[in-house]
Amino acid sequence: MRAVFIFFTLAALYGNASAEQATAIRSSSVLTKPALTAPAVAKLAEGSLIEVISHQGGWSKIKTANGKTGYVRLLNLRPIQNANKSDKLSQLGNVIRTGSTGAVATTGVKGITKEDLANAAPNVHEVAKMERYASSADEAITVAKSVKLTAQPVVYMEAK
Amino acid sequence: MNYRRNILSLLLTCLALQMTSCVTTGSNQALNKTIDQMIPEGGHKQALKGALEATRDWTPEEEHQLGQDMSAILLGASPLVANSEAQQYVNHVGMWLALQTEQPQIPWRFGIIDTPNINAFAAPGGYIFITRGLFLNLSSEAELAGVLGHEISHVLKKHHIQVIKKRGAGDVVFGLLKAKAEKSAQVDMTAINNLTRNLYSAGLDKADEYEADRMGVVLAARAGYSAFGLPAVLQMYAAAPQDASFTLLFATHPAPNDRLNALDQLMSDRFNDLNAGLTKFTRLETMQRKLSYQAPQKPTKNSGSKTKK
Repeated sequence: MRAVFIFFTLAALYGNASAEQATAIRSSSVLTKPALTAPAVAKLAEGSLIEVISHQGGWSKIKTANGKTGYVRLLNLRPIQNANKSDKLSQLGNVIRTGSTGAVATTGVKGITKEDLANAAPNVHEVAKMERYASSADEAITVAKSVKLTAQPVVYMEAK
Repeated sequence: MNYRRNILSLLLTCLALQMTSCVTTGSNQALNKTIDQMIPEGGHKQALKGALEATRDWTPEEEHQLGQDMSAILLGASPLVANSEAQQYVNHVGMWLALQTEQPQIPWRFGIIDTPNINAFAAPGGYIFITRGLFLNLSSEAELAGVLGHEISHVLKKHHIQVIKKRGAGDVVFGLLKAKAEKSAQVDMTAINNLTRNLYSAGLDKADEYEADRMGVVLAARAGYSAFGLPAVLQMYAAAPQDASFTLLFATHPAPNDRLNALDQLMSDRFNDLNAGLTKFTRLETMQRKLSYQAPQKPTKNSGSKTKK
């Protein structure tokens, strides 16, 4: 029962991705489609507050303050830290870490926090298990081909 | 007696000076020979040789051994997710990415750690980890590629080993790794274990994180994914609240928006095809459903028989 409760709590939190707020760091056009040549539906001034709906490649689908929906460059946006989810998730953190609700077992859900690391005893069996799941180069290439991934020539970027 | 001692200290000074230059020129072998010829047998000789050894680049085997020991601590905190299909999936994606690097021959191993905390880790010698919490929060395989590419870059650039050496622990760690490799007897690994706990709690240098971001973006693009997967993950981090799931990630990395700013500067005149690599990979969602907290999975009876090379 307790485990089930934890699972549903987690499910509720993870399944419910509330809308993300972001600021436009430069003025840009909001386009009807994720394409540079697409017509604009709105203009975003630098500093405008918008709602992010989703990301798609280098594009973000957004909703403006006036309710217009369209696409802008993903890197033109900087998200604003979400305050709404905080309570729920920190509650979850408490549940997992301390079982502070009193009704929830702490066993079964582990964390990697500073405390967990400080108390961690080496588990060599789990490391050995990784060999079992390893992929050979050939296997990785075959699988990549099966989903139509092709290698591209791209050079590393130097820091500015 | 006095004369001999003076000669010895003079020799030691000369050798010490020579060592500093040798480290960069890589002529340790010649120096070893000099030590053999000029220093009498005894403690001085062993100490000198030991110090000299620790300054050289560690072999891939030594790095791998350290990676194993460090991974054992991470997996001691939280074990692997018990789902062989999902584990194999990240190994397929990860190895495909690793093949785009300058070191495809490293024994790359990828794993999903069973914790809702959001994070990813690397250990020397090719060990890469992503937490179940982060895995479930990804919106596309390009995002997974960006995260794994970032971690792969930490291994390529030996960031963990650099931090260990910078903290002055290089000699100790190296000595223990050597002892472990040479002796069949149990070696006390307390020092390495403590260092590992500390290293993952404190994180790498901030500059290393920015470098791994720059490289991770490129590795994902080389593998045929959108280069914007990692920036999208950073957007997710930036929007996330300061809560328990993100605490260690935020404590050990530069602020997400600072990382986005750094990538923005570099990516604005590259990757101009914003739609490149825009394939929909349903296999990520399939795996996410398997690991979803909503439907607790049944214990797998998998013996790994499908993992043949």
